[in-house]
Amino acid sequence: MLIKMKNVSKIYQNGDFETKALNQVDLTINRGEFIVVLGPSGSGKSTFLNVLSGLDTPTEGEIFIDEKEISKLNQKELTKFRRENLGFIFQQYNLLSTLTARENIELGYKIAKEPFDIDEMLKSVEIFDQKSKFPSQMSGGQQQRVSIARALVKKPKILFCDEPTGALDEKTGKGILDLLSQLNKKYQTTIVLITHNPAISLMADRVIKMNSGRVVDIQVNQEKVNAADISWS
Amino acid sequence: MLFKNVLRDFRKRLIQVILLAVIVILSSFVYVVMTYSVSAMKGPTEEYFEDYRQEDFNVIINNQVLETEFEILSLENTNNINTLSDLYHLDHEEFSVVISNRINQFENLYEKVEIEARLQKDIIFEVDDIQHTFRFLKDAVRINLSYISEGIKPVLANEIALTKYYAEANNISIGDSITLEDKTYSVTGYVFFPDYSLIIFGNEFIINNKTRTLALLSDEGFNELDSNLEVVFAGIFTEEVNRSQYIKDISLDYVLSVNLTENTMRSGAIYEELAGGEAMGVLIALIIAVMAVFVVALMISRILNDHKGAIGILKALGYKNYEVTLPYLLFILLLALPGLLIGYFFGYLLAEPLKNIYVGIYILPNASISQDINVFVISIVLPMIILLGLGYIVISKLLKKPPVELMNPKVIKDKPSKFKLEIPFLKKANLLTRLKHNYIIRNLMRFSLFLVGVFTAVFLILVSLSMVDIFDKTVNYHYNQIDTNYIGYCDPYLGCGEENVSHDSVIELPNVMIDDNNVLVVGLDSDNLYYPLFEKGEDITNKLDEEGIVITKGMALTTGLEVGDTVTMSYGTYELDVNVLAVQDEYITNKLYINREALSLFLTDGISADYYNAVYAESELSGDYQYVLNIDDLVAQSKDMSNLGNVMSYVLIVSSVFIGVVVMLLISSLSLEAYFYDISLFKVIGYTDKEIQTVFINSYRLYTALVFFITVPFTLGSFYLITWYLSSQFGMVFPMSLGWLDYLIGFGLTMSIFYISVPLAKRKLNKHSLQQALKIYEV
Repeated sequence: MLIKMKNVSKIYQNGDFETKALNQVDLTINRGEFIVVLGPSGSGKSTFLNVLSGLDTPTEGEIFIDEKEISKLNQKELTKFRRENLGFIFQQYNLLSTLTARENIELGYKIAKEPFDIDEMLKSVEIFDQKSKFPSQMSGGQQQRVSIARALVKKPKILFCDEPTGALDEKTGKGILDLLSQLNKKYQTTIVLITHNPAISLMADRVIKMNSGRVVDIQVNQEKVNAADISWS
Repeated sequence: MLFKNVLRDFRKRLIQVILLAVIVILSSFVYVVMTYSVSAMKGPTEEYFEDYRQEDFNVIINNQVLETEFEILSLENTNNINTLSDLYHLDHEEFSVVISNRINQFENLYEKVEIEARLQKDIIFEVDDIQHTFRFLKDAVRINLSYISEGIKPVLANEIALTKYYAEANNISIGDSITLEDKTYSVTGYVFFPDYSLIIFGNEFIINNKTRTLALLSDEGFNELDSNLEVVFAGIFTEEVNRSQYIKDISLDYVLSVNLTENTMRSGAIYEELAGGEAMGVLIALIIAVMAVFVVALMISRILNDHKGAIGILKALGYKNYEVTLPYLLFILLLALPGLLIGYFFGYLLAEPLKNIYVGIYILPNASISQDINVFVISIVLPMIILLGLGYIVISKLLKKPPVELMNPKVIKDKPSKFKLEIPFLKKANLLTRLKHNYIIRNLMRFSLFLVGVFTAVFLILVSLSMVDIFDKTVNYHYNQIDTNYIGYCDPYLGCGEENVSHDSVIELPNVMIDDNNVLVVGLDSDNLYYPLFEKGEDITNKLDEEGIVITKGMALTTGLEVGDTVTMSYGTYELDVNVLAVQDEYITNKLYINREALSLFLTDGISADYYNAVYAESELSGDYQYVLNIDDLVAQSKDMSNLGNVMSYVLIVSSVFIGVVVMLLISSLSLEAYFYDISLFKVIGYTDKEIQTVFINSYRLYTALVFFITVPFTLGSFYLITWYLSSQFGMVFPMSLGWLDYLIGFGLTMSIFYISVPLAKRKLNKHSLQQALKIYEV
């Protein structure tokens, strides 16, 4: 077991209105698992990721990662925890425009205790020949690869991906998913991927379906499908 | 919708809005307060100088009766007549003959001028152990006419008019009686003289209007006054001439020196003061206004960037450009107008007290402050037009883009060159170091605002520090070095009486010319007891044994003379070539020291080596003197001026740090907002607050320090220019300099600008949300 959520809720207060973005979620995620969180807009996927990764705090409930209760950590401890254990990939890549691809990866490298070699990461995500380019000189797919390398270079135990293919076309998106799948196998990194694209769920070990802030279904894939074989929607 | 958005932004950026308001208020305030206070002085002063015929130049004349002049006198016995004062006290008509003769000589030889003799007498007396000086000026007929601001002109011999400041400071009102040298006078009014806007008597730069006053008596009263008479000539040009050249060409045997009014401290310094005060006010206001424009431009572009999508939607819906533009112009109006109005209000309110500070120094008539439409337009309407115009240009540029582009901003703009912006000497620095410098200089407008703001603050801090105790440095430093406490001035022709107190015999000879410079020559013995000379702290009194002169540092700065130079010293028809032997640590006016025996021989045509006309002593003198100067009293008299100067310096220091902090807070606030996404990204990746602070805030510390070191040589250069200007214009030297302690304090104050701002910036930094910013990432 790596992650355990016990009765986790997140309530947003907006004036007189109360929104339950997460409603009593119980969940366990195992080490090295590739998890896809699926759901329509407003289902609570992003809140789920934010709370699970310590970017936001739950209103109630407990979250354990490797026996450590992150829901009780203060901001300083959470930062340390993220720094040592977690990696993030976003829909818009979030690269620093003034840095080259290599330098963007170096941003992650610098704060890790035992990071991977940067050149090795550049090769792993197949952009070694692009390493001196600035984000503005790269395609969306290449930028997302840099983003993945930046997240992975510090050897995170868990990689959180928020709609990583949301801004990409089918071919490029599949390439990114294939890369994530390979890295999951190669480095045994736990991946929690959020998407509204049901096709991606076929690649996961387990699929967590969400609606109205609740986990409505957990589906286990006995056989995972390669990224190249999924039909894009 | 946009109106609501705009108001929401107003609330969201409340701190920025407040900081901007402070800058806008300051800009308007500085301009209004300086303009109103100066103009309240300027207008009436110019009018008064013209109406009361201020002299264009003054002529220092030999106050001895010349040999040729004895020939035109019809007096039988002239044995006791040496000076014009002697002649005046003996026979007014004969005195007038000599003076008329001198004036005729002048006017016949030099055309296009009008000359009148200026007669003056001084009385020095003590009130509660403090020396008070009255300078009586005889009522003139053609030039430098007296102006009675309140009351009436003295008519009877026992009537007197004084300066209002002196009267009020000493609880004297019109109608009161005062006693001077056993004679009682009735105060009939308050008087101004156009040739004395500053009450400076003699060579000491001491301004204390509480103990020194100008006074007017009736002609009869003036004649009866039993004091030494001093005569100078006042001149007015009747036609346009090259004034500098004109006075240079004047050469008459009784003329010691000729000075233009604008180069005469007592009458001309006001011109520079008013022009300088106004220019300084406009300059500082302009610098602050430029900063305000930068801030408004930065804020507007930031807000427009946030509103791109909304503007795109409105344009797509068919809104006209002016409908979209209007709310933003309203935003600018809300940002700037209240601040400008508040600044104007306080500037108008405080102009009166500031004017009163001028009035405490300068003896000038002043008008009450009334509002002026021009000041209102320049301080409020003009800045509003500029800010609205600037805002309109920025908005129009954005509105030219098609709605689709506004609604779907590109993730990363195609401007790779912008992203490569690097600092050459940091090419090999590590990533975070390069990043933190890049974050600072990437936005040139923000960086310029930072540079201008901190530079202005540092410059003003350093100037203020150099002004602290400047009067002490100028006046008192020298007096603290010597042991002389009392100077007794003997009657120059009756000589000094017996003196039982231990003393040095000295010659003080004013109005000696060295090239075009009018200097005071002091004849001292090298083995004198109470008046050692120093050069850079080292005793050089024995230099007086050598042939030559020791000049003051003030004189060295004024004339450019250096050790080893040879100059001709001339006094009337006497001339002597002398070498400069050393430079004495003294800033007081143009002054030099020479061996007393040598000076005595020079003055007596080699007949006597024992002549002296003053005594210097440590203890109170017992003999009979024309008057005795108490050095402690002199130092105490400069205290008021010194205290006022220090208070103003401290106020300027605090204001400078305040300006710096406001700018720094704005910069940090604007840049933290601009780098919102990057900061969030750093946080998400796992960078600690301290590391993020290092990247986004702490680098300003280095640049603040750099600006300090860049400003230092600039400030020293400006000191040199100011010193050169004042010494060449007025023969006055202000030792504007900075010691190592000033540098240390200046650096500390500069860095305090950074350290005061950091906690607030840090708080803003810590408030940055982690996940929200990453949802829409734009560069």
